[in-house]
Amino acid sequence: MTRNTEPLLEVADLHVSVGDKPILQGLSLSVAAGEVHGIMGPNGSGKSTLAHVLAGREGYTVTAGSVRFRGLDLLAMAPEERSRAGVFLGFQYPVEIPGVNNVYLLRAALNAQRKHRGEPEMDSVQFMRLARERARLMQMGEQFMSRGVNEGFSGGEKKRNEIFQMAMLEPQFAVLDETDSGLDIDALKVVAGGVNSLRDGRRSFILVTHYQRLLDYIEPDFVHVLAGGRIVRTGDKSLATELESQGYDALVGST
Amino acid sequence: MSVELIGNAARRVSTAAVAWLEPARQAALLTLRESGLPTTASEEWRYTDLGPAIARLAPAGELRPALDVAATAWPDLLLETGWPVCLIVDGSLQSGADSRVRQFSAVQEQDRAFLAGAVADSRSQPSALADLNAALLGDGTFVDLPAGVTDAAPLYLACATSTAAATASRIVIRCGRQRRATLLLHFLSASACASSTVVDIHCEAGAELSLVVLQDQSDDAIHLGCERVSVAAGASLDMVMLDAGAGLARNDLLVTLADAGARLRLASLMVGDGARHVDQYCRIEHRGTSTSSQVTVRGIADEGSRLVFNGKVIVHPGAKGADAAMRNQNLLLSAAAEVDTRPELEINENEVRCSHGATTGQLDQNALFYLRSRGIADTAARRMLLGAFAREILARLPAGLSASGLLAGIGRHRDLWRDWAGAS
Repeated sequence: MTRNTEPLLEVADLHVSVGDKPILQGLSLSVAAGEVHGIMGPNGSGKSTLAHVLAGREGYTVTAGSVRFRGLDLLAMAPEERSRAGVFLGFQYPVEIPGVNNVYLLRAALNAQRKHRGEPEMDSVQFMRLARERARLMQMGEQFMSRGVNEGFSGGEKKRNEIFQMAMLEPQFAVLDETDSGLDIDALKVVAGGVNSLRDGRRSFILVTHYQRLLDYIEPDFVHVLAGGRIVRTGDKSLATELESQGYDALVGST
Repeated sequence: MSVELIGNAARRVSTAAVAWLEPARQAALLTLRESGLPTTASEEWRYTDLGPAIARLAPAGELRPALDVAATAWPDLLLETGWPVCLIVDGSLQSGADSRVRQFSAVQEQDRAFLAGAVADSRSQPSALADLNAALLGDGTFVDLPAGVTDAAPLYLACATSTAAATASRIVIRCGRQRRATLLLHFLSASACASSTVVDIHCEAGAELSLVVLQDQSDDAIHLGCERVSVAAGASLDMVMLDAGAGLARNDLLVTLADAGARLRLASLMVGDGARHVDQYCRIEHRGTSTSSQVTVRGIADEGSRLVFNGKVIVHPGAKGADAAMRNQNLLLSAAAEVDTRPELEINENEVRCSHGATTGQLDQNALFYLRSRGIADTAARRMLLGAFAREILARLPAGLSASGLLAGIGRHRDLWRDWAGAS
């Protein structure tokens, strides 16, 4: 696990509050290209806050620290700019947007990214070919594509749709926020398969999760334990096993 | 005082061509004199002051001469629908030969009693807007869709107002027994005008009428509209209303579901920007058994606009099995905009199913963030969400009327409408 590249993402001493309440309190994390990091931690430790702050959600106040992504000041960028620069957030609770078609959103999103990179728009034939191929990977039928974004999707379908979107947008870096929650074992395998198919040695992932289970299917390079708004332990995948058997309290003390 | 303005204006209207309407006009004027014009003291008119509209509609001084009708390039303002068009300017049928459409002054004698009855009908659904329209009426348009005819092309009625003052347009639509028909009514103007437009709609037993009402008057216009509808046994009216124009618009939709099995489906969209004021009053009366009304009214209030929805469903004694749902949903896009909504139910019968509700809120911030997190720019994401909101209504446009074709022609927010209509 030696590193010979510049980190893709560098989070340094990040402090984040919601209202007056400090959530992240000096979080530092470095993710190099191609790496998969698992972040585990008890409820309220700041896992989802980290995911949201990286994607640029409003309502969080960064009081100190910095986040650099490919050398860019990520915190200064709007959510759409982050996305176009290659950041993807897989939502814990994907939003239902009736009236906005799933495929329409994806095509608009993909073309926004291509435009940003100075590439021509993808025509609808090319686009649909790609979309069908990637949807097959996620075992999503055509009917999902023609529906409103996540409209009437089950929990598992929503999560598969997140990974489908990721597969279409091919980000440099993805934060998957509890993508495993609410999934049965079959759906978990599909989702993990989708993520694994996108591991190409250059793309990086942060997997935020409560459970070791996800990390059985997507093997992480590093596992971090987040507690009290900081990373308190870092190890390899065996740390996840250790956590699962001993619980958070034993490892990090009561928080 | 305002009633006298109308009385004066009424005297100046040339009525020779429709002398048989005179009793109906006088009766309407009498009703106005007796009950007075509504003021903001009444619940129905709480948010809209009719005074300035009356002052423009029936000015105290000499009437300004009418604009040269031919000089206005009306055809340029018409929409591309591919349907037969009839153009009505200031209440008079100008062009468009269609056997279904006639001037009041050209109808056959046997239809006069029906038309006079329709114009004067203030019993079932009283309306000051209908009365002042009747008082100012010089002529009108009769759309007769007799029973036993099928597969006729849809019809596009463009109702334009050209003069700076005192114009009233009346359209009476009779949809005969078992008749299926589709109509587009388009209200437009090219200048600051005040227009009073009343549409009387009679759906006879078993008729199925699909009606689109598009109000796209110019920004400085005052629009006083009223649709008075009666739906007979087993008949249905499927209505889409789009309120996209005029500086001040007040519309009364008065529906009587008169007999067993009569149905109304209404989808309406109001769009407010600038200092626009749109007041939609809606009164649905269930009189027959097993009648149904499904009403969805959506409003988008931006900038300093004000939208009012005042809706009332009344289930009369005897209307067993009535099924009524009234929904009003609004998006408030600016701190300076205002939405006033009041859906109401009045139920005087057991064994009915009625619901109503209203919501007013901002764009869903979660949805907005979700779209932006996928790389969609903030402005584009907002447009997508607005489009999704609008399309719930636009999706109800009848088959054969392409939303994008129709809406691309709407003067106001041309891009936005096109966007809303096209993207899915």
